[in-house]
Amino acid sequence: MRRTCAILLVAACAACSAVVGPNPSTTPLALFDQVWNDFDQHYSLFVVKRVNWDSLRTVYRPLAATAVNQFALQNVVAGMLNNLHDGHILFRGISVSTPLYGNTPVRTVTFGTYVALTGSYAGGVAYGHTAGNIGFIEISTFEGANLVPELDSALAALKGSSAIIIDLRNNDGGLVDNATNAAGRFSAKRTTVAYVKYRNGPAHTDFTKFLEQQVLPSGPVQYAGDVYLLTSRNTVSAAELFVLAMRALGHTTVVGDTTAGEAGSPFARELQNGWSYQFPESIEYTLGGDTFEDIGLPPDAPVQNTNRQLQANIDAQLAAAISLASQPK
Amino acid sequence: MPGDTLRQAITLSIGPYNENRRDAADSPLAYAGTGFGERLDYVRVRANRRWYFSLDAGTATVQPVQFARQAGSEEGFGAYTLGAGTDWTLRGRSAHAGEFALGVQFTGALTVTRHLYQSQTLTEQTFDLATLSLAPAGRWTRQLGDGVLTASLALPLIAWVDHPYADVRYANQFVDFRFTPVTKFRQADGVLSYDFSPATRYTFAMTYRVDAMELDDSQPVRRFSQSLTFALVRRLGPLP
Repeated sequence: MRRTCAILLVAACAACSAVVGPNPSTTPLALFDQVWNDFDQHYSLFVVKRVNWDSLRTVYRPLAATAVNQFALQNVVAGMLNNLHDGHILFRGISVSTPLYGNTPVRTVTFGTYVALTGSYAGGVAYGHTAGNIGFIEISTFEGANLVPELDSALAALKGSSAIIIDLRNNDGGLVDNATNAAGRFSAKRTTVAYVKYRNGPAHTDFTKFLEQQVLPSGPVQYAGDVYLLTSRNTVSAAELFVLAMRALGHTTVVGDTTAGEAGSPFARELQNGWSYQFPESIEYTLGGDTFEDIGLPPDAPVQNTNRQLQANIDAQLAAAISLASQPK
Repeated sequence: MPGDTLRQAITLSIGPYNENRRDAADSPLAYAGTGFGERLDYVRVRANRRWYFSLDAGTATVQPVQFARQAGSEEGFGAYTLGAGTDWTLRGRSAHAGEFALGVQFTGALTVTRHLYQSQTLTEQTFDLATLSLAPAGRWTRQLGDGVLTASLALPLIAWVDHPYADVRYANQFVDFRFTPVTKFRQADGVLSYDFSPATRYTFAMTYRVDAMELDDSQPVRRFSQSLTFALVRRLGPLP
């Protein structure tokens, strides 16, 4: 009986291997081909980037074939992916992972000069008051589970403000749900704020139909007054969705610089050697049906901060938002 | 007539469930792991005709079989199967050769995978594979000691498959079954079972079940699952 059981066990293991098969090769060329194919079959933004993906393969594949070690291969892969100029492409190879194409923080002058700081939280929200009973909230990310509760606390403290300025100038994005839930604190009814399409086939033009992104009224505190958003070239991804949402809700004016223009949500993939990477498999669109990838969302009131102003502790963008918020309605 | 007597049985089974899979929709890697399975069977027999119906659920946490480095990825895997079928016992049974039955089996199966990726941050995506299939099924039964040994095999010939291209939460194609010919969808569902006391109202049974599946589409899937379950059988109506 024991012998029969052992034979059955061995047979089951052999059958399992035969069905599932061995893992793919981990040679440099096999790894390179897997990355190239993954992007070819899933990356959403070829239709926007107008990059000749086949041509990049022709250039970089011979380099991968001659890569002497994993560091060299990682550099070849990263070099190829850099041609996409996409801040949503994150690569975790043999060394520390980094976004391949990042944004640069912008200098601002807020707390202590224009704003009296009232509260600051670890999750990315800080708030206070400017002159004239205008509330001010800085949201530096849309990552994390604490962000929306922190926003609720800030809104509760700023409840009686005549208007609220929300500073997104150094917001590096995060979770779509956080952005739409945050916008829900300013929403009176269910509102379609943007559209999204997902890649759903092997051709670069294979996409789902337009799917609505909606904002629902949510949260313990709703703010129905005027809102002024401060944006910059470092207002990224989910923060751009928040801008789209707030614009669609009305009673919002965007002040500052054009946003980063990163219109896709990253999804993860993994390689057979344990490396992984993230890249967009979707494209976001404005209510007008336009994508803002590589373009950004322009402000309603364009204002630049010059270096000379910043050195003099002047934040022209914030000053403009305060001025607009102070005007009698 | 005694042969026309209706006999029924309800069986509740539990036991370890082992899953081995590679689904190109979520990873080039093979994943494997062992979890827990439960199954409910209902069988109805009159004369030489048998009807059966089953609900089966197996869940496991699976991990890469050969992960070179950067461990952390894993999948929460669930397989849910509804089965129904009928078969007819062939004439000419003998105590030595046992009894043969042939029939047809319908199976609806859904596998759901929550894949955790250890990337820049830990992210989760959800993938699914759903199949509806019709299979010719054969069953062999023979007295062995005080009990009855049963072996069966079903090989689907007609199948409809829904295998979304990407994360099902976003792909908007959760239910998009497409007819898939046997050249692209191959499956074998085998069972070896021993009923310890077939002539009593309550009895125990032990079942080894194996399921191998191969889907050749743009994102191929290979699965091999097996379970060893221990069952309590309750017979209704006259005993055999």
